Amino acid sequence: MGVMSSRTANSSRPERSHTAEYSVSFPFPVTWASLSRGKISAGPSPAPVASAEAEIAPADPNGNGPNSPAQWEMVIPKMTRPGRARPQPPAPAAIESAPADKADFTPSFSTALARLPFAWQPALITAAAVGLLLGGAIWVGRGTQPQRVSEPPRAPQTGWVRERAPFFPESSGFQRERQLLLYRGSEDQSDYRLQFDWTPDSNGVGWVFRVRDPGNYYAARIKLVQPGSPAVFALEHFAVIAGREGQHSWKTGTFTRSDPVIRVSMEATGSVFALNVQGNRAANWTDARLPSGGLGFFKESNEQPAIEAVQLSFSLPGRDFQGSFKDLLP
Amino acid sequence: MTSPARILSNPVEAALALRAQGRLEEALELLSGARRFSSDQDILRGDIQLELGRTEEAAGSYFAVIESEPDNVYAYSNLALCLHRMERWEAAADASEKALELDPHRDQVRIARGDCLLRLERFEEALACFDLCWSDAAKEQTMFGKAVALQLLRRYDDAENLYQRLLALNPRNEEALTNLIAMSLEVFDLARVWRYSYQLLELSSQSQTALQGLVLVALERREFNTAARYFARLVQQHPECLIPRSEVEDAGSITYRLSRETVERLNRPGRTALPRR
Repeated sequence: MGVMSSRTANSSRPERSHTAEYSVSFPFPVTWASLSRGKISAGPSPAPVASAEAEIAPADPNGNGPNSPAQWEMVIPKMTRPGRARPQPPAPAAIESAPADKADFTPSFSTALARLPFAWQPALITAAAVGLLLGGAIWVGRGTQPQRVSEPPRAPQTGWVRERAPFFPESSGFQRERQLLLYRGSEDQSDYRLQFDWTPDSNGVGWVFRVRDPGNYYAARIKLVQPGSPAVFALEHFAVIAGREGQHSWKTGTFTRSDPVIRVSMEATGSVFALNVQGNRAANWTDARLPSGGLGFFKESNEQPAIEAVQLSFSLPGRDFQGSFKDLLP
Repeated sequence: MTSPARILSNPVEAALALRAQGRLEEALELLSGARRFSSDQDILRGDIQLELGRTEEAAGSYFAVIESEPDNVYAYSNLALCLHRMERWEAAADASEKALELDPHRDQVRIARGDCLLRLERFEEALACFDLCWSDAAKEQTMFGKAVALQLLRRYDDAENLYQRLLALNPRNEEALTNLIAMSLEVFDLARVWRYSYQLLELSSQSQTALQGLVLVALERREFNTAARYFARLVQQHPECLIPRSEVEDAGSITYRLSRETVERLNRPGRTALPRR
């Protein structure tokens, strides 16, 4: 009926030889126009509730239950980013060695025993031998497993510190800054739980976790986007790596109850992060770029977040915090 | 109102204020007239030029930033965007490569680079480029880019597999169906051409590719009445398809040509089946 011409020489459909005059052609081009959509953004960050990606996101395999207030699924960065050289923290200042007493210094080897008066030496040798025998007897009596003497855990230095954290947003070339309020004693931790009571407002409340330094951390924020019944909140989370803020993942949901104060909690376990709002799972995601680091809050304006009770729980004992957010402020 | 003192002390701040009020031309004028304080000034000028559609001028502004700050990833990314819009594929691919050297996590830049490589017919490189994307946010575009690269490399099974996965994620992906029709036609699998064309027509009742595919299959199967029905719809929706096209216009795509005789028969009232040869 028709004749086909292919862009490739070895098409399965051979071209027919023909003499007829052809008047209509049906081109079937291979196109990729959708790759040009949503190209490198030159403008401001997108509005939270207008993510087109969410429409095509698959269902949450980690079980957003039927009671979940989530209305659509978040973009979850599950994959590990390719390796990248991180800026090295400044090397600690070299510890200055004690000035040597240069006068009449002759190198020699000696023990503490050798420096004791001669009369004490036999008594000390006997005491040491008895001690060794006793120790040996106790060890044999306990079995063959040597018992490692562990140092008592040092009391962590806890409290709150403020840090300035300059960053470059993904959508702009201008440097901006946010303030981090970090809980001391959490710097070396990886698994923890943050819980706070929040009075919903449009400013929202932001928190940071796995803070390695002011240029490398994860952050999340919850804010009220539509008051009423049911009120709608927006959740976002993102990473700042080497001072550059990455893509924000967004999700909206509705409050299941019209409580004046909303309990929000987030658990970090390994590379898995789970966020609950009013006791319901609101989001979960994975990210393995920052395996450990501090915990705290962040703010980008002068307004104080409307938080009341704050509770931090760690896997190690003696580091938990429980108190009012106002107590953290100077 | 922007005070003269403010303009003198910080033209970037003053221009930002004008831009926030939607006074883009004035903001641009202010930045162009002011003495250069910092690369922020060039970046803002580039952003405003981009918003005003002055792509070439914007490229110049970003280039000025790169000259003074060779590690400015934002400037490189937006220079790549400008060059892409100017259809300077080679230069755009180079600029995006530089941006990715500085920040390999920018998937949108990587996708733009893959797009350039496809246009430059560097399909293997495009495939490798899409493979390096990491984020879920870019998942659909990455899969699509890889599928296109595989299709153009004639790795049809792999390409079809990816298109099917894309359609499972988003059954309304019309471009995936369009490319599946073209690919099925390459291997002259009429059953697939019909299936994908029908699927596409359900999504978009005016799709030219879908109607063309259905006419083609019906003609090849000598189902003349069906062919005539779809052809009538095609002509109604896309009368321009009757305008003869040169081979140059169709270069780069698989093309099915109908003779004048076939077209006349398809248009004839009281159509009858074409005699079998």
